[in-house]
Amino acid sequence: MGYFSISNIRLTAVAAAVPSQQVCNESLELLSENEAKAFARTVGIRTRRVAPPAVCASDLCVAAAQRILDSRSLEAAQIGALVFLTQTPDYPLPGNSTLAQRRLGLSSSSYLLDVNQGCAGYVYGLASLACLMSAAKISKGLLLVGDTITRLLSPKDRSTVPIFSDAGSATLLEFAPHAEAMHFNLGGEGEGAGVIHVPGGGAREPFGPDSLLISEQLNDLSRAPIHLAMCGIDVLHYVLKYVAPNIRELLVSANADIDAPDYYIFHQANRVLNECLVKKLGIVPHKAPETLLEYGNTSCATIPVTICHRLGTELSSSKRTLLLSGFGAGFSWGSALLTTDSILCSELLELDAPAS
Amino acid sequence: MGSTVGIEVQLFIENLERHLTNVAPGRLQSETCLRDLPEWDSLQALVVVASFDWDYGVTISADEFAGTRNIHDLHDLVTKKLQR
Repeated sequence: MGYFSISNIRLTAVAAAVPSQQVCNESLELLSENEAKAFARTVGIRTRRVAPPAVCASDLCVAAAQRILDSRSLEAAQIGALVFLTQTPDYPLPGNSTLAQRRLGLSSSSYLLDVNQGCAGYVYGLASLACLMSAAKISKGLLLVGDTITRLLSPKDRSTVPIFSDAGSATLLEFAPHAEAMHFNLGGEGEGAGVIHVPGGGAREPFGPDSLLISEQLNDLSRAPIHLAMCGIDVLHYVLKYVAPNIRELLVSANADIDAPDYYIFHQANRVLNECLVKKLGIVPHKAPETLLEYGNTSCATIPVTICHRLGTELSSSKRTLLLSGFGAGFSWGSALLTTDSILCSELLELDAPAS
Repeated sequence: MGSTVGIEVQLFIENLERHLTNVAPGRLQSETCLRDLPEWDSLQALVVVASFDWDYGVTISADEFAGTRNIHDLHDLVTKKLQR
């Protein structure tokens, strides 16, 4: 049973930050000019953002969180909980949540939690923070979701390099006793653990001399055990099998019609997947905004990046019902149905160095 | 070649040709191995897997796809899944 709803938490602000360095796939040595053009047509990605070595997911997320605090004139001490969701923390340990607490100046009595999740992460993070704020009646909480996923890529892997991109985000949730319900439907299937994975560098295959050895897997596709490996066909297979049914179940459980959401904000993995979901669900394409072409697949941050970049103005001034759907490493998936009413939704921030 | 339940091989091929827009019509035969086509790449594989879901409501995994030698095998695979 993956469905539940929460009726005392409201989403009130979203901000997202990307590195200022833009890389165009047509400039990659891995792809010919024609291949890069075909890639842009089929996968839908032309340019990506790549963080310089000095910029981590924590920097991008903290910049986004600071924007929310400043724009809303909130004192850091008013934030009672912070959940940091990433697969690329600054250090193997400690996690990013205490680092972010320190940098944002949150109280040392805050509830600080780290979550390791991939592209389903924004929905999982919302669900986790909403649950704990609802149970503990915490008045305000921040969800920081972001990755510098390009750090995990083999420079010689054409199945990952032209796709992935870096970004960080912050989302403010607030306790509100009579808020409209937020609905969630979460799931996962470990049979698909190998579909998107980094085999080396953890406790199972500790970092050692072999971790950096690059070996050829296929033509133009070489990587080491510490690099991210992804099987695109199996990602599609799992999405077709689990994600569309997960969204339909959520709508049925929430007593909502397929036409109820003003927008369906899918994790931006690639255009083939977006088109499959649009067709399977039978929704009109303009209800599923994309940011793939310019920002690529920013891992767990694609949903807030798309919200800010494509819907910022509209969400800042209107009431809207959003269906969010994320899916990825695990294999994990989750969807959320929620209503926003004139939220703070800032334009994408650009960062070329961490804030001091 | 042959399946009697599900889809005729010729229709199966026509459907594939409709989705593989960079493959000239008439190029694909039952014995054709898609991976050997000069136009083939991993993006085309995504298009084919997506098209099976759209045309027949069938999804296939990377291993299942890799286990087929030619369009005839793919047709068998999809037909068997349709019968389940």
